[in-house]
Amino acid sequence: MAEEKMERVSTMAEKTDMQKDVDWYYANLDSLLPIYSGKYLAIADCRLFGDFAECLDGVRAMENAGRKRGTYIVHKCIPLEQERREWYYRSNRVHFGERAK
Amino acid sequence: MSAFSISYNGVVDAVTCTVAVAQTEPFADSDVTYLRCNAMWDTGALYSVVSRRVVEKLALAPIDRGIAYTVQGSYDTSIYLLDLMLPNRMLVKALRVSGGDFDDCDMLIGMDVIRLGDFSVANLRNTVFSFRIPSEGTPLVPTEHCICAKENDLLP
Repeated sequence: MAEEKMERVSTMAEKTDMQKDVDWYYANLDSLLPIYSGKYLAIADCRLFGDFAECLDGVRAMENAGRKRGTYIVHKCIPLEQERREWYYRSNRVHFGERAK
Repeated sequence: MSAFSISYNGVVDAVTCTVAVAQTEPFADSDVTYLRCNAMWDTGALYSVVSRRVVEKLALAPIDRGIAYTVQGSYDTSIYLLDLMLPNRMLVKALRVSGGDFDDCDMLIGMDVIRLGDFSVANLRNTVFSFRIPSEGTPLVPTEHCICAKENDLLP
């Protein structure tokens, strides 16, 4: 039971670390974009580890360096508006059904 | 060319098929566990999305976080790297997918996959769906180039 609880705490911590890296990326986007536009940036501990043409290359580099998945991010460096266009899906399908009586 | 064609019973209101997905492992000697799941082809999705069930079953670990935009609004989501095995066993490697909350299928296959090839749906008496990679520039897949099968019977 205690082991299960520790595992959950650890997972939460990793998510928080990832969010810090995401926040760091957006805070520095204005300076990153002119240099790395279109590249995948591998970021951990609020530091840029490298830039890559392919996302998988970034993952490979981070895991070669001993990083566990969930403790870093590999984020595509593009303008915010473009990012919004790239991450759209329509979510729940529209169903037409009879209203319950 | 790699192609498949699925013939459904009747005209369907969603193009679905059985696929297999696994977390992308960056090194060739890593163990890969595939999960068989039900996918819906969705031209309205710019990228592919996996359900919470798939995330939990495969214990997917995220490689990024982002904001997913939908017609209902936006939400924070984790982003995963997945290998997708299509019904003809063709592998699409290292797809960046997000997690989503839906329960009518396990995965939405979006335009990130569809735009890799030619996508065709015919609905004369029953729906026939075909897909091939790479694109040959013509909109319909000649059946002599396809593996023809009923829904769900292409994967072992």
